[in-house]
Amino acid sequence: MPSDVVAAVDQTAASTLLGAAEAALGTLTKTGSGSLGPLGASYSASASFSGGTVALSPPDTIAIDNLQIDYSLGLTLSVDLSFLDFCIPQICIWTPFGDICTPKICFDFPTISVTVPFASSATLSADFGLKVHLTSGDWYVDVVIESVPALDLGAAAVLLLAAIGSAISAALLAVPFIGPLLSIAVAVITAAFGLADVTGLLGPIVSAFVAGLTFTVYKQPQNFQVLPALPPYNPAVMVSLAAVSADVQATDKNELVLSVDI
Amino acid sequence: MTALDSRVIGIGSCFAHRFSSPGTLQYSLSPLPSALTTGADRASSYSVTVSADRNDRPPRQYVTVRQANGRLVASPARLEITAGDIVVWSADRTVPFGFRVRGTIGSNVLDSAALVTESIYTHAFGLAGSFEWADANGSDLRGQVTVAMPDAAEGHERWLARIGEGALVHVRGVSAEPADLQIVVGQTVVWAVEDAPGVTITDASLIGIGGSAASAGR
Repeated sequence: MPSDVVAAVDQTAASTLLGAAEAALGTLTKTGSGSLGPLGASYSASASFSGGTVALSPPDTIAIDNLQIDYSLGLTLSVDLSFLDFCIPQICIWTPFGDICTPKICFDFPTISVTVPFASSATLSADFGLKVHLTSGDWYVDVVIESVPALDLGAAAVLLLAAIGSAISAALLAVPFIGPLLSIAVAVITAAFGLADVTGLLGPIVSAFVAGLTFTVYKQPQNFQVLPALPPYNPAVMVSLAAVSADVQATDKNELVLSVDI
Repeated sequence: MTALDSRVIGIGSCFAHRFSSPGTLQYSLSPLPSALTTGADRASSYSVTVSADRNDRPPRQYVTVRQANGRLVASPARLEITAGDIVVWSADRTVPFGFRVRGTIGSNVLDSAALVTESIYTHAFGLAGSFEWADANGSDLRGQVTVAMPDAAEGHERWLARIGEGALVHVRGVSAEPADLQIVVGQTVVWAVEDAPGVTITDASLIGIGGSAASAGR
């Protein structure tokens, strides 16, 4: 039995729908923690999506290529500086009142927090499935990513590694007595983790935005009022969408087809 | 690490005094420059007894100040020295901010926040920069310490040797010699105060006079 309403969009129009869905999705945020070698790391991250080319593949696959994810991180590292604990030796000096010797003075270096701001982007291509659901009185047609693709974060990880080194150097410069030991301190700290550790930290943060990625391409109240657009004006009619389905159909070209029963 | 301020002797700084004449100093410790009153002096917990007789004791004695149960504690609480000896007070790592020594010996007041004569303040500089210092009690006494990073080409061993060398500023009245001093990070400056009207050695930026060009911790 044919549906009461059938709407179809081709791949070009589907790409337009995707753009609108990306804008509606807006900026996503996440916070969490992890580690960078021996260093504790916490982060707040945000991401947004743009672009992408839609390819429709029957019966229900929407392939999106070159979808761009722009992300930014506020990474906070905890760096325990106790390995630098330092003593000023006893100092004896002549004064007009006789020689004075100061006691040996030792300093406990603290654990400092180093904040590393970082922003980058990546592109991904993945297959999305269709999910139709009625939630809180609204019908939704979502396209939902089926699996998280491998993201190429190599270049970003290299930049992040450099940013971490710079941030640690800047933070250490503000710690009394570390200045002359700065090069040693930075070398020791940054030797404790490498590119693989940075990638291991960055990958899950970015992937978390991609996992379960959902774009809503259609949303409609289940019940809504309809008025004729032109005279003669009849009384308003309440329309109830009893069922909504979506799939990709191959006719003369592949189309995303929405079928509605009233 | 505390600020350059003789009013609050913290880790990295010392206060010292040469006791030239016999007598007994009764003194108290305070975490704030202005917290001690004359009344508090009468309740002083600690003492330095100065005798005229020379003995086998070394000419320098040390008092370590620590914090216990929220209170500043001097150890040893009572000290016996000989006239001409120097006593050095310093904080250990339990003292969060610093301390002030104030007491009386005979009719004279000994106060680390108002240095008069035969008093010494030391401070180790941990950051590079230019540090103007002045008297928080309002005299014209002032000077500057320029702290440079050590020459990396000289290596760390040379730097470690240099931080074992102190630099002296001799304060007479309200003038300092030298008024401008150059040191490297980690070195200690010793101010020896003589015939002064009760002065402090205080980072000028803390008292709204001039400013210092380093970002944190002196």
